[in-house]
Amino acid sequence: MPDTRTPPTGNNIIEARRIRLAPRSGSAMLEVDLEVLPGQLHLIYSDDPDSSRAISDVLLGLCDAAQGEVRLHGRAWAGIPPRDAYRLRSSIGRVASKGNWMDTRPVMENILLPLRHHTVLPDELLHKMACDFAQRFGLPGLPTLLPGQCPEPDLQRAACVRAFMGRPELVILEHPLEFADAGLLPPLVDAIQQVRRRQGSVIWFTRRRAVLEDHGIPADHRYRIAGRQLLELETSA
Amino acid sequence: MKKLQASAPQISVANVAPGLLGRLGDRIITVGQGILQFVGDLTATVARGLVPGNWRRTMRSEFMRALYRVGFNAIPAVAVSALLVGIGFVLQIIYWLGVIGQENSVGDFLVLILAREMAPVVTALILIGRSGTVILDEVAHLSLNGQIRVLESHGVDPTDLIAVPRTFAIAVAVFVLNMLFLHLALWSGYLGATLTGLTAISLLEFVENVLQGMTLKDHLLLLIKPLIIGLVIAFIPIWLGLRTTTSALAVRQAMPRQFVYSLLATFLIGTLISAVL
Repeated sequence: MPDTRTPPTGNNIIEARRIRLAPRSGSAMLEVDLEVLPGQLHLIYSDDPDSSRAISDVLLGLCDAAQGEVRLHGRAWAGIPPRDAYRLRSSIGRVASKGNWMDTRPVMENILLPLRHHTVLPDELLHKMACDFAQRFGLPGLPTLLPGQCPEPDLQRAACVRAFMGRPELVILEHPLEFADAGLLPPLVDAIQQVRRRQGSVIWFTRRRAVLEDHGIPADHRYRIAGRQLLELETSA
Repeated sequence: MKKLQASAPQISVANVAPGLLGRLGDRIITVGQGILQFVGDLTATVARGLVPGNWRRTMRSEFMRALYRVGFNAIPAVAVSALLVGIGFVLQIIYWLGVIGQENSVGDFLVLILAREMAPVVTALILIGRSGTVILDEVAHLSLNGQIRVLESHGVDPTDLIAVPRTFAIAVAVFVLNMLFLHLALWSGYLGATLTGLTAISLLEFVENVLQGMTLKDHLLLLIKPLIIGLVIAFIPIWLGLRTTTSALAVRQAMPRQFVYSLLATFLIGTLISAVL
C-alpha cells in the first residue's frame, strides 16, 4: 500500500522521486528521479521509444512503478480514485510514440475528441480553435483523412495540435520530431513557450542529439537515459 | 538417522504437480473468477449508462455510430430471415392447426414459439454473427496498438467511450430488430397462408388471435429479453477485446471464444427469462 500521506516537497506539477520501472516486461529496471515545477521544460534524450513510453505512462498514472510513486500536485496517483484520475489527466496533453490515432476515425475527429469529451464548448468553436492550432503547426487545416491515409509528418503535426489544445498544464512529448521535417521545430518551441508562460510544464523526449544540444531550446533541465538511470546533464541558471 | 535426513529429497508444495482433480479445480476457479469479473464489469458499465448525465457528446456520437453500424445495417439480414421464418414456420403452424380444426389456437402457438422464444434468439444470433467478431477485432486492435492507452492519457475512460455506447446501442438494436423480425414473420406467414389458400381466417381474426394469446408477461418478455440479451452479447466482445493486449494471434484466438460465449449466453438468458416470465 503506497504511502499517500507524505507531504509534497514543493509546489510541483509532477514529482517522481527515485522511482523504478521496467520499460518492457523482463527488461532491466530504469531509475527515474524527476520533479517538474510550473513553467519548466524538461528535455530527455532517450533513444528507446519503449523507455520514453514507459516513463510517460508511469508519470501519467496509467501504470504503477515497480518501486516508488508518482505525485501529481502532491497527490500520489495510487491514492486518487479512477474517475478523479481521468479528470486530472484531461489537463495533460500528450504526443505518444505509439497509438496516437484511432484508425477508424478521421484525424480531425481524433484531434477534437478529448476536448469534445471533457468540455461543453460548442463544436464550431472547438473546430475553429483546432484549425488555428493546425495552421500554427504548419498544416493547411484540420486533416479530414483517416490516419492511415495521412503522411507521417502531417500526423506528427496533428499530434502536436491535439497535445497543445485546451490550455494543458502539462504536456508530454514523446519524440515529436521523429517523422517531421525541421519546419516543425519553431512552432513547437513557440507552443512550448506559451505553455510555460502560463505556468504549465513540458516534458520532451527526443532521440535527436542535435535537439538535446540545441541551446536555442529553452530547457530548464536536460537528461539522458544512461544505462539504468535517468541522468541529469546540466541545469540552467 | 542424521545421514538419512540429509539424503532425503527436498519436497516443497510448489514442486508438486497438481493431479487431475487439482487441475480441474484450478480450471473451475479460473472460470468462476472470469464470470464474476465479467458480471461485475457489465454491471458497472450498465449502471454508468443508465445515468443520463453520464452521456457526454462523444458517447452519444459513438452510440449513434454503433446503432447505425450494428442495427441499421442488419435490417436486410433480419428481414430476409424473418420472411423465411414467416413463410416456412408460421405458414406451417397455420396450415397444421387448420388441418386438426384448431385454427383459433394459432395465436397461442405463435406467441409461445415465435414471440417468446424464436424471435429474440434468431435476432441475437444474426447480430452475434454479423457484428460480434467485428467489435472484438476493433476493440482488440485499439488495445493492442496502444490507442486505448493514449485515450486514457487524455483523460478519456475507455469504459465511457468504448463500452457504454456500444453496449447500449446493441441492446437497443436487438430490441428494435426483434420487433421487426416478429412483425415481418407474422405478416409474411399470414400472407403466405392466405395467398396459397391454406387458411380462411380474416386478417382481423388473425390479429385478434395473436393478441389474445399474449399476456402481460409476454409483453414484458418482449421488452426485457432482447434488451438483456443485447447488453450481454454486446459486452462479451468488448470485454474480451479490452483484455487482448499481447498479440494479433490472441485476437484470432479470442474470436471463436467470443462466438461460443455469446451463443451460450443467449440461450442461457433466453431460458432463464422464459422460466421466470
